[in-house]
Amino acid sequence: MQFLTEVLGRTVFDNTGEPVGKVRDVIVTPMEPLPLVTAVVVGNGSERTIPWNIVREEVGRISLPVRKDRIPSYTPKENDIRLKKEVLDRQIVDVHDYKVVRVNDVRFIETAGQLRLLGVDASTRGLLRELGIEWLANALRAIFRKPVPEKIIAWDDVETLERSAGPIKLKIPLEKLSRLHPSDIADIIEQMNPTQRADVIESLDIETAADVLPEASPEIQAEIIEGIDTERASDILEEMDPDEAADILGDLPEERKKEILDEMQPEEAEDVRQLLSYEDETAGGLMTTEYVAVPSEMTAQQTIDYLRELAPDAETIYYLYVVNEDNKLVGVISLRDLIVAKPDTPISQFMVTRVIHVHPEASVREAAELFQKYNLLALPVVDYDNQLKGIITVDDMLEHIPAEVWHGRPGRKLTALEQRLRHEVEA
Amino acid sequence: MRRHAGKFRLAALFAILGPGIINASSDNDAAGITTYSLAGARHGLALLWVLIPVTISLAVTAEMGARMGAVTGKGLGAIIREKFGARWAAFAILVMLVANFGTTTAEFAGISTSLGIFGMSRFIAVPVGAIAVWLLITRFDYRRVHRVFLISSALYLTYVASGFLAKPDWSHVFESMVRPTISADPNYILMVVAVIGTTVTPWGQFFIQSYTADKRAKPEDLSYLRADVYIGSVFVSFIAFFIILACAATIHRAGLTISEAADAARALMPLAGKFASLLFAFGLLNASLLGAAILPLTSAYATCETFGWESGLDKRPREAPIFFGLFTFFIAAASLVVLIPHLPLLQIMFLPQVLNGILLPIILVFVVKASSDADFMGRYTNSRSFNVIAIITAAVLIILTILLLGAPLFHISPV
Repeated sequence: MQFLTEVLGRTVFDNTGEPVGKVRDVIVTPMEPLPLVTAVVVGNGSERTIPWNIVREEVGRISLPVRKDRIPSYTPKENDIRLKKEVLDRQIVDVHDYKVVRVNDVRFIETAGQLRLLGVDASTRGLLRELGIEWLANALRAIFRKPVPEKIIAWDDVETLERSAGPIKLKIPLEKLSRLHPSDIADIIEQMNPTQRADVIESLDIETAADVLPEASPEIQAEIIEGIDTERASDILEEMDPDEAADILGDLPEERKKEILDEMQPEEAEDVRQLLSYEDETAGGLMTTEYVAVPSEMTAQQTIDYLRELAPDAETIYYLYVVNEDNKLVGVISLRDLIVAKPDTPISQFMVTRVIHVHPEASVREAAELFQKYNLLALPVVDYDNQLKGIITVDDMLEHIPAEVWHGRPGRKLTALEQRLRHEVEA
Repeated sequence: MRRHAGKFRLAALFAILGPGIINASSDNDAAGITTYSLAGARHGLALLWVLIPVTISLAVTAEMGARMGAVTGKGLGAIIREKFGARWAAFAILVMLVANFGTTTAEFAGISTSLGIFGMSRFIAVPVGAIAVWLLITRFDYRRVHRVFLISSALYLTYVASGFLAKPDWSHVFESMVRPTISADPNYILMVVAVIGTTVTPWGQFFIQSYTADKRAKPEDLSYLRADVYIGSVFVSFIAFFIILACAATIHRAGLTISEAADAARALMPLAGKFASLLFAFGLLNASLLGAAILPLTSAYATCETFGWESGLDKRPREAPIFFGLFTFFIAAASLVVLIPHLPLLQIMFLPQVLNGILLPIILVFVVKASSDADFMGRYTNSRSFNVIAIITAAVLIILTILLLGAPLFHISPV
C-alpha cells in the first residue's frame, strides 16, 4: 500500500475466504528513522486490531493467513498513532514550509520488507484522490497544461496539533515547531484559528512565546493575550520588552489590561504603565525603557566592565547614553568608540555631547525623519528637563514609519540600512 | 488561575453575548423580510403559529452550533471533515454553497429593489451594490461594519409599531397562534418551507459555529452562550411575528397582494403613512447589504477551513487565492443573475428560501451526528430531547418537500 486512502474501507478476508471486516484504521508506532506500520483496525460491528505482520496484501485483495477465529490480536503501545482518527483530515503544521494544512492522505514506503510512514499529502491531488476523483487531476492537467502538484510533507516536518479529537486534548510538546525562528512561528500561528493559537502559545516556553508574540500582527497579539489565563499572560509580557508589552496591553479592554498589570512584577508593570501613558503615535508611545545609561565619570574600561556585568536586557547596546547624577542626558558613545578608546580614558573625553534626541510628544514622523537624516540605530527620548526617558530603536521605528518619509527624497542613493528598512516597511 | 471571579464573569457575559443574537438578527436579511411579508400578505394570520415550532427549532439548532464551536474551537466544515472524511465534507460544503448562492442572489435582488424605490435603475444599482459590498468586505474592518448593520436592523422594530397601529383583531391573532391552520394547499406548504428555511438556515449553522469558535468561547461559558442563543431566537421570531402581522392586517385585509417587493412597504403605512416606502426601502437596503456581505464571506471561510486552504481578510489575495476568489465569485455571479432582464426580483428573493428549507435537513443531520459524538464533544454532547427536536425539524422539512414534489407544479404560484 502506498496511500492510506487505498486501504481504508477495503474488506479483509481470512484464509477460507470469509470476510473479517473492513479496514477502519491503520496504526503506526513511532520509531527511528520512520514510524512503522504495526497494526490495522478491522471493523465489522465491533472493532479488532490485527498485527500488520500477518496481513497479506496482494493485487486488490487483503487477506490473513489464518481463520477468522484464530486471528492474533495486537498489543497496543503507548505512543501508537491511529492514522485515520488522528492524522487524516486533520490540520497539521508543515514546519518545513511554515504552513498550516489539512491532511488529504498519508503516504507509506516499503523498505527492507517493512512498511513505514513516509509523510502526509496535503496537495490538491491528494484531496482529489481522497474524494475518489483523481482522474480530474489528469483532466485539469490536460486543460491547463500544468500538472496538478503532488507533494508529500516528510513526517519529520509534520507537527500534529492534537493527539486526540475532542475536548480532552493531550497537550503535546510542539518540539518541531518551537525550534523554528520566532518570526516563522508567528507566520504559522497567523494561519491558525484562535483556539489553536492559544494552544500553541500555551505549549511554548515563556521565553519563546515572548519572542513569537511581537512578530504577529497587533490584532492577533491582543487576541492571544486576551484568551490565555492571566498568570501566563503576565509571565509572557514580563519577558517581553516593555514597549512591546505596552503595545499589546494598549489594545486590550481596560479591565483585562488592569488584571494583567496587577499580576506582573511591580517594577516591570511600572515601566509598562509609564509607556502606556504616552499617546500611541508619538515618540513616547514608541520608545522602550530598556537602554543602557552610564555615569559620565566612568572610564572606558569601567564602562566595558559595567556592560559585561549588567549583561543588559536592553534592546540595543550599540549606543550607550551618558547621564549625569540627575539622569540628565549629557552625551552618547558608540560601542565602537568605547572599544577603540584606551582603557583608562574617561568616557566624557570622547563622548558626543550634541546628542540627537526627540521629546516624548513628538510625532512618529518627526522621529522617523531624524532616523533617516542621521542614519541612526537608536534615538534617545528626553523630556524638556533633559531627563532621559527611553530610547526608540530602529526595529521599532520600522513598524511605524510613514512610508512617504522613505520615498520623500528622490534621487538620493539609499544606504544599505535604508534599503532594508524600505523593504521591510513595504512588506 | 487567579481570575477575579465576579468581575470576570461580567466581562465574559459582555464578550460572549453576541453570536446567538448576531446570528438571529442576521436572519432578518432581505430574503427573510420578503418571506415573512409574503407569508402575511398571502396567507394572513394562517402562518403565525408556525413561528412557535420554528423558534424552538432555531433555538435548539443554534445552541448545538454554538456549543460545538465553544467545545471544539472549530467550524462546522472542519468538524464534518474530521468526523466523516473528505467526501462527506465535500458534499456538505456543496450543499451549503448552493443554498448560500441562492440566498446571496436574493440579497442582491433586495439591493436592486430597495434602490429601485429611490428610482435607481437595476443596471446601475446592482453593479454599484456589488462593488460597494466587495469594498466593504476587503477594505473595512468587517466585524465593525457588521455591528453597524445589526444596530440599524433595529429599523425593523417599526414593524412592531405598525403591527399595533394597524389595529388587528387581537383575539383572532391569539386564536391563530394556538389553533394551527393545517392545509394541503401546495402554496401554503411552500410558504411553510420558506418560513422555516429563512429562519433556520444552512449558512446560519456554519456562521454561528465559526463565530463562537473564533470568539474563543469556552465550555465554561456555555450558560451565557445558551442565554444569548435563546434570546436571539425569540427576538428573530418576535420581529417575524410582527412583519407577518403587519402585512396580514394591511395588505391581506385589504384584499391586495404583493406582486413586486416594493408592495410590501404598504405594511408600514399605519406607522409611516406616505413615508412607508422610504422606510421600507432603507430597511431593506440595510438588510440586503448585511446579507450580501456576510453570505459570501461565510461560504468562503467554511470552504477554505474544510479543505485546508488559507483564508482570512488579513491575508493578501495572492496568499489566499481560493478564499478571495470564492467570495468575489459569489458577489459577481449573484449580481449577474439579478441583472438578467425580466427576471422577477420577488421570486429571486423568495425561492432561495424554499431551497434553504429543502437543503437544511442535510446540514442538520451532520450537525446532530457531530454534536452527539463524544469523541469531539466529551461530556458536552446533545441531550436526547435536543436531538429529537432537531430530527423532527429535519423530518418535517423532508415530508413537506416530498409533498411539494408530489404537487403538480402548475398549481404552485408563490406570490
